[in-house]
Amino acid sequence: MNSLWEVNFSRKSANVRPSPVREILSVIKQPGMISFAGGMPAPEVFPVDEFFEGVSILKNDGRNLLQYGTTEGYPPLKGFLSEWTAPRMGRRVSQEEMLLTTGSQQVLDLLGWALIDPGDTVVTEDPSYLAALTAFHNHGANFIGIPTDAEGMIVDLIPEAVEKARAEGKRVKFIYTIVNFHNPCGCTMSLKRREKLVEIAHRLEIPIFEDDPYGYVRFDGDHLPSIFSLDPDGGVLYAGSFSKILAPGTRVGWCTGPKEIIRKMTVFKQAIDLCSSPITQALAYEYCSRGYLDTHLPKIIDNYRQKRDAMENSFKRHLPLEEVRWVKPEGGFFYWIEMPRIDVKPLFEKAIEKKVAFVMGMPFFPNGGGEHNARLNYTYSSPEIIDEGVRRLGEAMREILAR
Amino acid sequence: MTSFWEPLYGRASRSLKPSPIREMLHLTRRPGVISFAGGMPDPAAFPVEAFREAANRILEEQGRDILQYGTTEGYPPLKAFLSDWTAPRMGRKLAEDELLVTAGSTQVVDLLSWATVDPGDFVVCEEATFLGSTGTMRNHGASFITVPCDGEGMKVELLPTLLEEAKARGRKVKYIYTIPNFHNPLGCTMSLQRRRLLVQVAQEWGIPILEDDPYGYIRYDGEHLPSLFSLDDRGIVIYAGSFSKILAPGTRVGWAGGDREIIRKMAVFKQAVDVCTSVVAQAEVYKYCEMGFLDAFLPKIVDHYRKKRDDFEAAMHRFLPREEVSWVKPQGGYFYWLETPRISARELFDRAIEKKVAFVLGEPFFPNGGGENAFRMCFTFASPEQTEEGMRRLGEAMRESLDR
Repeated sequence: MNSLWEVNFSRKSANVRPSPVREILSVIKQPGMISFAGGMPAPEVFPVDEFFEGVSILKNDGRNLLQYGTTEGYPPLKGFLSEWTAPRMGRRVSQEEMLLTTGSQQVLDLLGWALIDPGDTVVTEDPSYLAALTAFHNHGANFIGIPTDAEGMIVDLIPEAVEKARAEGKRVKFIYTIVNFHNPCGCTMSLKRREKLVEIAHRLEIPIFEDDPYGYVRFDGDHLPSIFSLDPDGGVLYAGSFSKILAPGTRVGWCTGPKEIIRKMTVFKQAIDLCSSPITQALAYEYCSRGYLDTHLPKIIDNYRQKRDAMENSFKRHLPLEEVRWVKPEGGFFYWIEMPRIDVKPLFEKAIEKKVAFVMGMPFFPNGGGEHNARLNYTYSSPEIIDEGVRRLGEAMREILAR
Repeated sequence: MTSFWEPLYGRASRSLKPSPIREMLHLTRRPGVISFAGGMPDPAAFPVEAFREAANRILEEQGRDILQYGTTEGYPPLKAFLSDWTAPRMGRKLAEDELLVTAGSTQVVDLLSWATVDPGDFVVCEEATFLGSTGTMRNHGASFITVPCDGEGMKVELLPTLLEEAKARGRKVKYIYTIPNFHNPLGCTMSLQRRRLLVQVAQEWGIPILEDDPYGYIRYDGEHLPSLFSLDDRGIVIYAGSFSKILAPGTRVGWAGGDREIIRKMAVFKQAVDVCTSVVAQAEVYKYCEMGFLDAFLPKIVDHYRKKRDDFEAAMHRFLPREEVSWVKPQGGYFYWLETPRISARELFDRAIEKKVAFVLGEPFFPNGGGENAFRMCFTFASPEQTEEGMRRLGEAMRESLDR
């Protein structure tokens, strides 16, 4: 222990929380453990050969790619994304409306830099994505949590909550939402709610941050319009990522929004990492421009759909159905289960004994709650492993209930 | 219509300034302008073929693994390599939990500032210093205590008095930021005696040091000096290194070496900032190193830039009005720092741009003001012909400034 460092820590440092997944990493790594805890893609879906074809670009353009890149991002990739995302965004966005980032996680940090002062308020789903809460929390944010149901955030509750916060003198900076296949809830915001949210945000003069890492990983039903496409007034920042549609090891994400905020975030990015690696951006571009994004994505979706179905079936087979509720996700990576009569903490301990891991609900709630919730990832394990893990979990639940 | 956003900007946003170098780029990119402004490596010195070979190899061998999320701390084989490779400079092999791989060394400054700086805190730095770093610190709300420099770097003997003053005024100093080798922008290198004294003062005061060393391995003359890290036995030095200058900046791979407590703290912040640095990029860099290319190509890179420095020095002697300008020949790194006591750098800049040659004004490098009669020139980027012609134009601009 080096107290010299501790006395020099910032206040942020004293409050910073490591991710709960990271905290249970040593548990997850125990031999024989089946983990539904992380949020990782399955390595077997990675298009290794297709991705590596792109390395030939180093032959043609190596000198350029090994140099510092522009902070705004590798122009060919931005050009591709502008086309490729047009159906979702409602139009082709211009280069100045887009910033390439080091994964979409960096978008959270950059928007935090641009907007959040300590004590400011952010509206989120309750529960919400943990690393987003942490990123905003690091910038000093407080949270208004809005409950969700099967149609996503119950947006009608926003105005009153915001008015109340404003009456207390708080500055509400933006509404953070994961509209598709929510992490952790698995739910998707209905079209009606999306339209309503845009209207409410406009009325309250609060921008919306639409985080959409899973949006293209849809198993059933039709894609819904993005919030960005529903808003004509430049009040939405959209974040996307290659982590789920290609592979996370590239660390390539992007955000799309009005020029003004994109420019601001770009200047912050300069001070944070200058630019994301032009090499990995170019490799992602080569992969996309060769058509592999479009040909391979359906294979990823098929793989995950099977696993989602496997988990659904295993739930029905192994869990005490009268004690557990869930909504079947139409896409994405996660099941979110509610167990009104089971405390998740003893369940977690029992589950670890039986060698199956998940993430407890609590850390996803910015202002407390989640003692009867668990998040389970289905993309990483095989259907057989999923079945065995859920069987163990069912056993653990019954033992807790029998206590 | 974007009026939603502006009223919502935070403190950092409202006081945010884009890098002056970036703002100048539109001037330096005009057709025909010879630029000594940016601090970019010469693409001709990039080991493109070797890097491509390494990239192909690692993708063949480890493709599936490196496409997955990596640990926030960094790709373990790269850390193991760095532990060995940096041992001579660090004085020992660092343990795995004493190293953090980052998105270039810029991120080290950001993460250390997350961990230590609250708005209103102070950072001690050289009187002129890398403005990318001070920009990052400023975002975190830092103010600066600056220490004058000479040919031997920061005048460390002044430090105790400055710290006493700060203490008397109730200022909290969170760390000392220094670039000991081939300083950006000053070009100077801190002497061994000053290094020892700096570590001693920092230990006495209990103030950590951030030793930023992106250029350390690019030495043209003389012997490498011990790092501050190696002179410290109490874990108060964080060392920041980078592949940008010894391989290529497009990799965006740097690292921090230091006490495990602060490394762990920085890793927790890194989780929220970008989860991890691209494993693909880290693995490519690792393979390049592991295949022996780093050691094979680094001497060539150093030779390449030594020749450029010598060309630059010769051109300055030939074309600049010697009695009006002074500089110290840098023993390594990327930069010349010119002082022109009788010429305003700002006025010279306008004249130079007219003549189609560019440099960076001294002022933005001084966090607390100064540098009106100084400017920075990078010698690594321009070709020998451009250097010669650019210097001729600059000499002309200087003489015209003096004639006015």
